[in-house]
Amino acid sequence: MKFETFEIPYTGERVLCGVHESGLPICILRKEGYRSAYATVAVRYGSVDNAFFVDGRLRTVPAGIAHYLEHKLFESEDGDAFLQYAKTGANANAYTSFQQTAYLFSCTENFERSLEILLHLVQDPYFTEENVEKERGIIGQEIRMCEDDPDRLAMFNALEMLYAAHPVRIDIAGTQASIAKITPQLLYDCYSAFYNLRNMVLTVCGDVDEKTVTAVADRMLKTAPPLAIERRLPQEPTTVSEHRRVAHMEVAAPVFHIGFKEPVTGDGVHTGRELMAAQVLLELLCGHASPLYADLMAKGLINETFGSGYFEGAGFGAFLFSGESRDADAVAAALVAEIERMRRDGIDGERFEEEKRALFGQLITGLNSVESCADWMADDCFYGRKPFALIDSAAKLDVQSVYTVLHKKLCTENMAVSLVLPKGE
Amino acid sequence: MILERISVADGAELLTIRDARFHTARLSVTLFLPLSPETATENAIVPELLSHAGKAYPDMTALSRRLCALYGAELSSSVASVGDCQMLTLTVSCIDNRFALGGEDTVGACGELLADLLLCPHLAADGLFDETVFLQEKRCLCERIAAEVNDKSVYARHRLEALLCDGNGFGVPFFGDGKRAAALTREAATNAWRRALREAHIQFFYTAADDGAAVAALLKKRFADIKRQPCTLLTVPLAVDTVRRGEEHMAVGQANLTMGFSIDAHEPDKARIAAARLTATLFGGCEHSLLFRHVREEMSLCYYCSAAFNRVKGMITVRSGVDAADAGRVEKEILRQLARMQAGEFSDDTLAAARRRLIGSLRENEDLQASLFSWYRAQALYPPFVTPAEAIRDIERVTREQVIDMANTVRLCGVFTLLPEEV
Repeated sequence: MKFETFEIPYTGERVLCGVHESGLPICILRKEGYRSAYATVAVRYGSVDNAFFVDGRLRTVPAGIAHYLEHKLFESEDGDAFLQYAKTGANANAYTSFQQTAYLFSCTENFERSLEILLHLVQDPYFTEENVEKERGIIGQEIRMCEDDPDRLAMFNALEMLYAAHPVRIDIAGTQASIAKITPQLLYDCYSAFYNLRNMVLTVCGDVDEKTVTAVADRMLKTAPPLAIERRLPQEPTTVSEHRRVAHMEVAAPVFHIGFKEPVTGDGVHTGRELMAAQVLLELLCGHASPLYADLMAKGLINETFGSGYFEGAGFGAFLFSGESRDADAVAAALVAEIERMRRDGIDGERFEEEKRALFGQLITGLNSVESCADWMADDCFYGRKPFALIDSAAKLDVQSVYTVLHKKLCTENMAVSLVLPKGE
Repeated sequence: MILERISVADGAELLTIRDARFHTARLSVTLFLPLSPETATENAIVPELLSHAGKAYPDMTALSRRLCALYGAELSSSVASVGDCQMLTLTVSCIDNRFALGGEDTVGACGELLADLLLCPHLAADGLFDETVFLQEKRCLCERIAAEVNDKSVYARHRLEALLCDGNGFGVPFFGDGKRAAALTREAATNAWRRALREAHIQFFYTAADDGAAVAALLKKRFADIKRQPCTLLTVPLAVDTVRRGEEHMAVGQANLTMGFSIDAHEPDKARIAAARLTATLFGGCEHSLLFRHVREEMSLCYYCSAAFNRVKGMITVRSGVDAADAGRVEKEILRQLARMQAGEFSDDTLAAARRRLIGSLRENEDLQASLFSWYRAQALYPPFVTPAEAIRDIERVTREQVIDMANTVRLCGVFTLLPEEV
């Protein structure tokens, strides 16, 4: 297997990337002296992939099936993968996001055997009526746990208002009703459609060399067929379907999510520069050093739970603001006013340089953790970026890129305000 | 990785670990005080006041801009408890000087900043905390206390702790209570800060690529004029005569079951702690544990059912989110698994798996600055310090018989269940 070497900007660390003969892309960041090693196999398959074509026929599957599949892939005919990891001491886990499913472990010994288990589990599904049924109770409780989380309710209500058709509006875990429809055959169908090594990436970070990883890959990987995934993403309007929604829960303080939908067309993917520009813009707009943050705090409209983020992926993008407030509508109005002021008066050059420098430092800080590095490499692979190129994008960001995001992506007319209020209010 | 201990002042010391693997330098200070209902609230506001303004940076905007200039240095504060003590922590973390694009001494500047924030807050002419900053932080503290109910699992755990400790020590909410927060005055907050500087046990913790000599010299100099009278800090191990029960109904979909157990292993008796750690891990501390395998995987009753060992209080807390109708069944099964462990009904393989996972997680502590900080902060009141490597050696020596003996010291002390309204 041939690896290409990439140097991480400003630190000099080296990342090796290549594609194994089986079709699986592999990225390795060696961190000498680290006690733990972390490996993840990420599959480009998430909760939004609930409609796709098989042999030209459209298949629509129940919400939450990618997450259900993630749970069930730990079982094989040889037994539960956790029982195999029990012999290596690895700490294994998995998660499903809107666009990815990832299987991972960290370990401080027996790395090769743990990697064998990981590569085996993603290639060897074993679903039976009995083991699929058994999982329904566990996932049902996971869903119930999430349903009691006011922040999550506020976020998904916001996404439902922002997106009329895009499946990003649906909870990753699905609902009790949707998971009731999941069968072993449906899981096999989704597995066959998406779990192709060419649709995955293996990333490794720790004191591990490429020879070790390649030797395990050679032993464990079966050559994948050509990739033939055709996803169906519905036509999503550029406007929002609803502007305000209120729900009630057992909360002491009202919780809010405010979203501004970006008019994305098709399956547009965001560039590294756009991502960094959006981050800097959010800090300029309402970060801790911004006048708006100080003003909202002084007026008692937000507290330390306030935060913002750029929520984006293939075919969607939104600016989200969340926290607790006795008057979230006033927070929303203040955000709109500040966005309009920035458009009108422009961005302060000194503040731009400060926030750009801060972002650079935060990205460098992210390199401390083997876990964050491995996840970062997987994202870079899926989005077609050079490993850790975001650091260079941040360091070289120009203010014009921020203006572009401000004027073209942050659309105040596409706003949705989601509130979760205490019962009785 | 060598831990060095340097005395800064009476009852105040700096721990340093030099490690060039990290891209950042991280300096924390923790003030340890008795956790009591009378002082918890006024103490809790102190780190918030110190971390949002200072004499040199009189409001959050000015301070945040300074942090941006230091390449996004992260400044955080926290309030927590360890045993019957309250911990007030400030932390600053920044990129190492090697990565500063302009060659600045970011690390030195962050050390100065932390010392300034701790010792030179933004005070008004009357010597009390600035009113604007104080009122803002008071509001935020009130909202934080009220919002505890938003996280049902944390809420249920705190209710259990209050039930078991009669509202004293460990059972006191470490952010204090809402009524006292609403009545807080600038005088009380300022006095709490002055008292903390005078009486708290203080631990600084520094991990960076350098040897910490510069930060040690800085802290010694800054503390030279501070009069110290460190207080005595004690924790009483958990002991309850009869099982206490509590429940509360709320508009939730899932019941939260929390169970508190005493275990005969606690600081400063370090000899028993390794066996207790392994016992708790086997019981419910990992995916190979009895609770995970049986309550979750075999019976499909929950998404999580886990046990955590508190080595200061000598306590194990078990938590699970379940259907209300299953709460009794889950409780019985948790107790059945404990009885099995006490009877030695677990395989050598299961014990070996728990031991491996525990050792792995301890070893991983050395790869994250935040984990190293937490490891040594938890031991601050109980020297000599045990390194992760020493803790691993102790766990490797624990025998099966010692685990069974330790399990037999575990006693149920209390159960708190948060239930849906209709049940």
